[in-house]
Parts: sequence; structure tokens; C-alpha cells
Amino acid sequence: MSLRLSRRELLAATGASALLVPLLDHGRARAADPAFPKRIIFVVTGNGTTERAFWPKASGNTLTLGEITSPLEKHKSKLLFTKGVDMKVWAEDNPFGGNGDAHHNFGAILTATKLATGDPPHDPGGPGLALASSISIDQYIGRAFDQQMPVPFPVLSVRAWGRDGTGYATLSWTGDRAPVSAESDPKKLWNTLFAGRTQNAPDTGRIKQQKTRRSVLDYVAHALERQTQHLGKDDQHKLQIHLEAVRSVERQLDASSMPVAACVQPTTPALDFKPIEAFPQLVDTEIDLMTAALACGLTRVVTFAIGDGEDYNIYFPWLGLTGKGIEFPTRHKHDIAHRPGDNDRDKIQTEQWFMSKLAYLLDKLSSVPEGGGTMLDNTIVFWMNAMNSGFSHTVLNLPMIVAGGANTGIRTGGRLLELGSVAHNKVLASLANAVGVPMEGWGDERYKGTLDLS
Amino acid sequence: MPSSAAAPSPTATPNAGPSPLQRLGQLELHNTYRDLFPSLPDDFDAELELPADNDVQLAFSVPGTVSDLEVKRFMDLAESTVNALGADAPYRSAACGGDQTACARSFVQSFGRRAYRRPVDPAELDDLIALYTQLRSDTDLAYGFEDALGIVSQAMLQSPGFLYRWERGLQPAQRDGMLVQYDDYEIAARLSYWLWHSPPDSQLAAAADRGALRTPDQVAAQAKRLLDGPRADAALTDFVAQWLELGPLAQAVKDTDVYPAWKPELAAAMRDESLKLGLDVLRGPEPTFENLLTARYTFVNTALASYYDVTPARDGRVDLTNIPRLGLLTTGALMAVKGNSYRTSPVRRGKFILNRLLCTSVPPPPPNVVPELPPPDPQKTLREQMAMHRDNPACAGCHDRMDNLGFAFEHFDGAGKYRDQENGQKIDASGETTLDGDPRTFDDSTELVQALAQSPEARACFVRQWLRYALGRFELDADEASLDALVSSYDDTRQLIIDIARSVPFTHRAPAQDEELTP
Repeated sequence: MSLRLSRRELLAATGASALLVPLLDHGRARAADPAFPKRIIFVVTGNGTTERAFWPKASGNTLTLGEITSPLEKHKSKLLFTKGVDMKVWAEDNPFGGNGDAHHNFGAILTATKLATGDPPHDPGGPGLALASSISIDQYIGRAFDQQMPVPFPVLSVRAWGRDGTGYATLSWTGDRAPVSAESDPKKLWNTLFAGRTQNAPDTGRIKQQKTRRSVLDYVAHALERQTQHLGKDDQHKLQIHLEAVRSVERQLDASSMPVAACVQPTTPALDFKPIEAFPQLVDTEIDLMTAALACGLTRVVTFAIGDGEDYNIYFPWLGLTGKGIEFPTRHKHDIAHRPGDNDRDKIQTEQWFMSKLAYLLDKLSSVPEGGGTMLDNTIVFWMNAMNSGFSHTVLNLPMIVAGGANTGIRTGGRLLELGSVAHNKVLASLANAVGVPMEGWGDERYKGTLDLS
Repeated sequence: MPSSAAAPSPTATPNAGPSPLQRLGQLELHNTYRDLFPSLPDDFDAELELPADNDVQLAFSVPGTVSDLEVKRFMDLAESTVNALGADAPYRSAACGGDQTACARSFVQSFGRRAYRRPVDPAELDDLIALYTQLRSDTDLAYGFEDALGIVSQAMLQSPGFLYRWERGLQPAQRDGMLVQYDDYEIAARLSYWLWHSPPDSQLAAAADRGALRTPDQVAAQAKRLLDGPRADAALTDFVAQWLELGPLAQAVKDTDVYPAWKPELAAAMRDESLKLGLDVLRGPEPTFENLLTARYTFVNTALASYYDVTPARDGRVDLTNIPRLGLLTTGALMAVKGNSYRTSPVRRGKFILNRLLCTSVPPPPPNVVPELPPPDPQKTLREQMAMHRDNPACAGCHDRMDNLGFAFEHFDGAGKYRDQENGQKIDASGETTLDGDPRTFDDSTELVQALAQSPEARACFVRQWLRYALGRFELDADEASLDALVSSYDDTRQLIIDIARSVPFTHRAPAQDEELTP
């Protein structure tokens, strides 16, 4: 069963009223070429960068990459740097006041609206939860794509470390106070995507297992619907979120028993992903799996959180940075953000490492042939940092790169686009338009509008 | 008796705030499974990784919402657990003499009574039997009697009756004046999940069946029974561990150039020490807030004895009379978790006192603050080096209060060891703060801790922390009258726990917005 959202349902899902809900039913998403549909990948990492080493220099048609982005040199012609983008919905108005400790802003990144919750004790949602108030754009685009061409996973949410279910760590939200937990275990991710998936029709054993699970989940959904009677508004909301999650899993189950087109499926990862020393392999494995999921037509939207807003548990033994912190107990990413080392040496080195992972993602997408080009031509990769400076917590002039998408409305070509001071809402809306999901703006109505990225 | 905050006025009506629907937390889920299936080993869910609860600043962790990842985890948990039970599965012993559907009904009712912590509603029962019938009669499925019941059990373990703390069932809640009174099943579950992190035992379940949890005295009697039982140790130590924010201690890394005596295994030993001390006071003859802060003894293992340079008795108990440590606030665990890898953290220690001892929240740093901190100076003490916090008006608003409190603990280094000197300089652990509206000065942590132990404001905060732990939510305006009564009658913590159990916010709640009630 697929999700068919009416405008009313979408409005209900989005929650807040002062929202720009794109005119989805005014022009259905442009019909995609079913052989090579458009895809979009959102990659977010936190704790800022070192500006002088991040932004490239443009002179005429030549782009010179900074030290941090040097690993992207071979993909330079497929990059667009959007400079001068501010998270205005956070900088100008957030529930924590001031710059509101932007370590808690993950819930506002892809939603581009003000958070639903603020400080305890008067607002029990508090900084411990920092919940979003509306749907995130990856979920919105996923649902729009779904109406043209259902896939098992409208949005694939993946994370490397970080925490679940809170505004410190969650990028993807199906609506008001409804976080989507992202998978961090590569083996479980593989199981979800590929276990038992073959090109053949399922055997009787598998049919029985699927049908059994479906019957159980149908029962659970029915029980949830029944339980919401008599409850208060907020409690009903909680069970409604649970119910939607059950429906989402049911639909994944249905899709998992459908034979798939020929595609190269990866083997089961054998990684012990828990020690920090395995972090580089974890990120690589997750990139491999998401690429395979895209290539196999299992999803068209991927949201990838590398770390979370705080990054207290990511540190860098493989770069020779030891465990001893300067301002914090360990030399983790948050410590490095606040104490970047002499001449920002440690900060630059670690940020460069993250860029090498973006380079790996672009390598993988480029390795899948599609038509006369590659999957990267049909995929927009949007990479951003949740902060400009993890030291001052500023969210103005956010580090941001748009890559790939040659067959979408985006023109990259190794460009630096100076935008002055625009709301990040506009960038997100522009990306949605570029992949064929038309909208006049995204998120908070105060920051409506789009940009010309062509 | 402590001198009290103003006693509640005669016209103030004890009242209660609304209570949001919560699902079973990580530990509660684990314990409920083990209670239902006693043959399960303790690590039955280790591979599965149940979703962790979310920390809440100034209060206690709560479970989060359910997205598809959690639905899959609950499904995997139910499937793998039930399939692994084999001969120990409850439905395997439900020998059925005749009508299998009638046996199925009987099984669902008895298993459901325990799994849902209440009787199964007739409508739920019918739906579950419909599922059972489908599992048996569908030609693709065609399960046998026992296997079908196994799958029905799995469905029950994923349903809201099991996963959510809503032991009311399908009927609307009952009005009681302006409030809703929790029914017997709800009271039983509230008591057992609070004090044992587990579903009700058979005695509590029987009391609920008999309708014997209606009056405050009845509820208090069961609370006392649960509290006196050894299973309450888990909740008492969990409260202390969360109250002291000890979680991050397990991952703490200390610079062994600065702290050569530090070993990673000391972190676990220190955590054990704090929890053992806390439990000993709370189980002892005077389980008071004052004693938690000022107890002049502790418990150490061999490694910790050597680290603290003390000689324990055979049971690990150490007399601290001649040692400048007292109670929970100067234990190695708290000092180390609120310490950096190479130095103390007076800011985090001060913030901790404000948050957990005085229930005061501290706003985040102002936007775009880029302080020019001087490089570490080995000639100066940390207090001298952090002078800018107090001298710069942009910082002083918050840091004056925080730092003053935090520097009181400067004799305890970043790895929890006592020291007389810092960089060859004498340590100044004196400071001033405001307590109960009055300025208070102190020479060191001992004096600060003793002032906190005597402070009505701190004691009231302690009561507030316990209420937050019991209710699983923040107190709201409607709860304040009951909170005032708990504060003014506070004598010791065990009595407080029983008083909370009999209080209106525990036995009642305000209706939720738009909730339909029976008139």
C-alpha cells in the first residue's frame, strides 16, 4: 500500500500553521523518466568549520579549492558552493534565545521552521529533546516522489554515531514532534534493505513469513487506532505517529517480497562498528549501502547524519589525534570545535577528513552508469554543516556544497555563488524544484522564496 | 524538623497537572519481558539494541516517540524472544483438552492480564482471537494451535496495551471532580514501574484485582512494601546515578601526564562507590537529604582505597572523619565526571549545583561569543586564569554564580583526587553565593555542602527532583500545592517516597486537552 497524501493530510502532518505548504497538487511533481529518476541525498555534519580553509576562491572560470575541500579536487567540476546562506529560522528566533546554543539545531535544518519545544521546566520538551515542529524536506520530497513511483523506502535515514530521536541528532521528521530514527548499524541497515531480496518470486516459506508479519502489524495498527479513542490531543498525536510508523514498516515488508530488477547487491557487512577506530569504515560502509539502495531502486531520497549536533563521542584516533581533550574530557569533535589547535590545525585536519568522505560518496555515485552518464548526474548531493563556527555557535554563512545533479535544474560546474545573506529555506526549496517537486518556498513562511541555481 | 517554606494556605486545593502518555522505557521493557518469560537470560536483548531513553536536563530520562526503526526493533524483539523460548513459552504449557478456540481465549486473557498489566478488554480479546483464527485457517499460514498462540503473543508484545503505560485500557478515564483518578491497575503499575522498574508482582496485581488501591493509605501501604523490598535498590540507585549525572563517567578519559595515578577501571569503581553510599544512606536509619550530602563515610574497593589513600574495613567501609570529603557531592565520581581530562571544571561543577541542588537552569552562552582566552599559565591557579568570567560583564551575569560554586570544589582535581596545592600554589576554595535569599560565604566545599544540606531551598529542590522522578514529568503549576505540602513535611527520603505515592499528583492527574471522560 502506498501513501497518497491529500493537501489536507499534508497540512495536518506539517503541524504548525504559519508554514508555507508547497502547492503540491497544483502541478504534480514533474513526471520522472522511470529509467533514471531524480534522486537527492542530504548529508549533514555539525560543529562548524574553519572558514578561511573551507571556501574556495573564484577567479574567472577557475575555482581554487581551500585546504579543507582539497579531497574534492577530482570532482570539482561537479561542485557548486553556495555562500552567504544563513539559518535565519534559528539565528533570528529559536526557543533557547539568542543563538540558542546551535548544538541543538538539527531539528530545524531540514524542516527550516522554529522548533516545537524549548526550555524545561516550563516547556518539558526542553533542550533534552529539542523537537521539530513540522515535516522535513527529505520526507516531503520522498512522499511527493512516492506519488509518481512508489519505492520501498520513500526516505532512507542513516546515521554514523550521534543519538536517536532528539533534536540534537535527528534530521528527518514526519511532522510535528515526530522524529524518524536513523539506522546506524550497517548489518541492520543491510537486513532492512537487502535481506531475502532476490530476483525470483518468493518461495512459500517467505510468503508465509511475510504474510504472518503483515497480519501481526495489521493487528497492531488496528489496536493503535482503537486505543486513540478517548485520549487527549497530544497523546493521540503520539499514537498517530506510531501508527504511521507501523504503516511505513508494512509497506517496506510488502516491497521486500517483490522481485527486484537486476542490480548488484552488496554482501552483508561484517564490521564491528562500535569502536571509534572503526568509524572510517562505518561511514564508508554506509555510503556503499546507500549507493546500492539508490542503484537498486529501493529509495530515491537519502538523509545521512554524520555525527550529531554535539559530537561528544566522535574523535579521531586514525588521524593521530589522541583521546585527551583540552576543554572537554576527550579530544572529540566538540572539543576540537572549541579548541581547534594552533592555527586551527586539528580542526582543518578533521574537517578535511569529512570532505574525503563526501568525495567517496561522489566516487560511488559516479561509479553507477546511467544512460550516457552516471547516477551522480541524476542525483543532487547536498552537503552542509549545522554551524559555521562550532566555537561561537554562529549559524550565519553556513558551509554548504551542492554536488552532482547535472540532469536536474542545478548548474554546478565548479562554481562559487555568493548569495549575500539568504535564508537556508530558499536553498532547500530550490533543490526540491530541481528534482521535480515544485514549490514556491519551504518551511517558515517568513523566509519564502527560491534561488536561481541554474 | 526543617524550618519550612510557608505552609499551604487553607484554601489551596491539592491538585495535579496533566500527565502525558509514555511508553515503556528501555529498562522497563527489558524487565517486563523478563517478568513475563522468567527463563530469559539477562542479555536476551543485547544484540537487538532497544532504543535508549532520552536524557532530560534538570530531570530524568524519558522514552522517545516511535518511528519505523523502533517498530522494527519491537517486532524483532517479540519474534526472536518468543521463538527462542521453545518449551518455556507460556502457551506451550496451556494444555488444551477440548475446544481450542476457548483455550486460546483463556490463554490471551491470562497472558494479557500480565502483559498489559490489566484485564484484556472484550474488544481486544475478540480482535486477538480473530487474528488467531486467521493464523489457523488461512491456507498460506495454517499454523498449529501452539504456534498460532506464539504469534498472537508476538502481536500482543507489539501492541499499545503492552508498549504504553496506559493501564486504563480502552475505556475512557473516570472524572473525579476536576481531575481523573488513576484506577487500581494504573496505580499498581505506577508504583511498580517507579520503584522496581518492573510490572506489578503478584501481590500488587491481586490488590488491583480486589480494588484495594483506592485510598491514599492503601497506596501508601503498597509503596512501603515495594520500597522495603530489595528490588527497590535498582530505583534508589538509578535516582542517585541520574541525579548526580554520572552517565558520562564511563567514557571519561584522563590525561595520565597530569593524573598519573588514574586508571580507566577507577571510573567504574567510583560509580559503584557513589551508588553504594547513596543506597546505604537511603536504606539506613536516617535517609535524609542532609545525610546524603554530609555522610562521613563511604565504601571503596582496593583500587579506590589506594587511589584515595585510605584504609577500609573488610566490607569496604571507610570512616571519613579526618578526611576532607563528605557525602555524595565530593565523591570521586562526581568530581571526575565534572572534570576535564587535565584539569577541573569549576563551570560544570557550579552548573551542576545550580541545576540539581537548587533546581535552577542556566541559559546557554550568548550568541557569537568568541572569548579570547589566555593560554594556560602554569604559574597561576585556575581561579586566577578564569578571572575574565567574573571581570567581563558579558560573562559575569551567569559565571559569577556558577564559578563561585564550582571553585568551592577546587581541592578535588579533575580525576577526583584530593589535593592541597595547584601548580605549587595554595588553593583558594572560598566563595560566596546566595541561599534562601541570603548571602552565604564558605571557605571550601565542606562548608558549602553543609550550607546546602541545611538550606530549605536545596531541600525543596531535592523533593522536587524526587517528584520529577516519580511522575516522569516536570511539575506544573497545578502540582505546586502538593509539592509545597511534601516539602514542608519532608523528614526523610523513605517517608518522602511514601508521601509522594499517596499524594494527589501520583494518584490523580488533570485531564488532557480534548480528552473524553466518562461523566
